[in-house]
Amino acid sequence: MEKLDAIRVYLAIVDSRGNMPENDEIIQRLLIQLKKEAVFYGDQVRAKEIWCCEQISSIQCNYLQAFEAIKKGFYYDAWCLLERIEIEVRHLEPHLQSDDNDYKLGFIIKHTRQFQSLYPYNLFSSPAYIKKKELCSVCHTPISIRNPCNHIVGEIYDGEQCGKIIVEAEILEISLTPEPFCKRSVAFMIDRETNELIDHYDYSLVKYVIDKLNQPFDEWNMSWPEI
Amino acid sequence: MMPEPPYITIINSQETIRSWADSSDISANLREGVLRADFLIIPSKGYLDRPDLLFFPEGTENLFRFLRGLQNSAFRVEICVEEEEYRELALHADLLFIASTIVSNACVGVAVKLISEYIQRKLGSRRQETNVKWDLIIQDDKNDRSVKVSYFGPASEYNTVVSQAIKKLFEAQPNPQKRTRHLMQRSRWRYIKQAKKKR
Repeated sequence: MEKLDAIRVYLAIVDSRGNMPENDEIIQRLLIQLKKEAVFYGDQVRAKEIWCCEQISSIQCNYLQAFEAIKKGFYYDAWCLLERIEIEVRHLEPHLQSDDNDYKLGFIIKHTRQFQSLYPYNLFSSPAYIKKKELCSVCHTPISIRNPCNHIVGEIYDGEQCGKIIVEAEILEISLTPEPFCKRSVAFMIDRETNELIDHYDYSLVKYVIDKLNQPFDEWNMSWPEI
Repeated sequence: MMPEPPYITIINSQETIRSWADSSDISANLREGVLRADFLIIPSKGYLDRPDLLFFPEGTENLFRFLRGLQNSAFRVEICVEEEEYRELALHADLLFIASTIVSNACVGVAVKLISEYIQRKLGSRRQETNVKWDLIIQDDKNDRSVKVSYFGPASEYNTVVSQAIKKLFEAQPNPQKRTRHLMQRSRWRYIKQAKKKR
C-alpha cells in the first residue's frame, strides 16, 4: 500500500484507535516528508492532498487533546484547542472533495460546537485595527488592489495555504465583546495582590457532560429550550 | 448587537456614482473608471474618534478581485480609492462586513446574486451562524437619486430577504427598464403568434 493511502486509513479509524500522540507525531513527520517529495517533483495536486491530510490529522489531534483537557479540568486550554479546530476546519472545508471519507470530521465539527456552547464565557477582548501593509504569504509581494500577484488567499501552493502577512497595522481600539473574532481572548479577573489570573467561571455544564462520556467519540446531543 | 428581523432597512440617499466621483480625492484616470462603473465599491468614513478615516472592511481586496474576475463589457466593477490610500479595517466581531456598493438600477439583480455567491464561497457551512452586514445603494440613472438598502442579518437569509425587498421596491417604483423589457417580451409573443398564424 502506498504511504499516503496508509496514512488515510489511519486517519479514517480515528474513533477506534483513540488518542495516540506518538503515532500522530510520526504521521505528521511522514506527511512533511511526502509533501517535500511532491513539491520537488512539481506535483501540485499531490502536495494539496497531503496538505489536506495534515489538516485532518491536526483537527483530529486537537479534538482528542481538547477532550482529554476537559476531562482533566483544564477548561480554558480545551477552549483554545476547540477554537483551533474551528479555524482549521474553516481552512480545510473549501478543499475537501465531497466523495472524501469523512474522517469523523462531521462528528468533530458538531461536538466542537456543542462543547463551545456549554462554556460560560460571554466576554472577550478584541481589537479593531487598520491594516496598512500586507504581504502575500507565498511570494511576499505587497498586497495590491489593482496589481495583485497571482496567488489567491486560501488556495494551496506547494502544499501550503496562501494567506496574508500583516507587516504594518494601527490599533484603533480594544473592545469587550460577546461575539469575538478571536475566541481565545477570554476576559479573566486578576488577583490584585498576586497579579495572577483568576478563573472565576462556572464550568458545571461542561463538567456535567464530560462526566457522562467515556470516549471522545461517544455520541451526545443537546438543545437549548426556547424561553 | 444581534440583528433582528426583518434585517433590512431602506432609506433615500443622495449618494450616486457621480457624487462619489466628484467628491473623492482621486486621479482623473480613476475618475473616468468610476464614472463608467456599473458596480462601484465605496469606502466607509469615520470610526469612533477618527471621523475622517476612510477604510474598507477586511476582505474587500478579495471581493474586488472576485468581482473583477467576473466583469465583462456590460458589467464594469470599480473601487473608489487610489492604490496607496487603500486601507482595510479588521473588526473584532465575528461578522462578515461587506464593503458598501453603488449599483445602477439595471444591475441590481446581478449585484445581489454576485454578493450571494461571494458569501457562499467565503463562509461555506458557516452561513448558518455568521451575520452579514452590507449597504447597497441603488442609483436611479434617469432621476439621479438613490435608495440605500442596508442588510444586517444571518448570511443564510441574505439572498431571500434582499431579493424580496428589492422586488417590492421596484414594484412600488415602476422601473422604466423593467417596463421596456416587458414591452419587448410582449411584442416578441405577438410576433411568434403572427408567425404561427401565417403558417
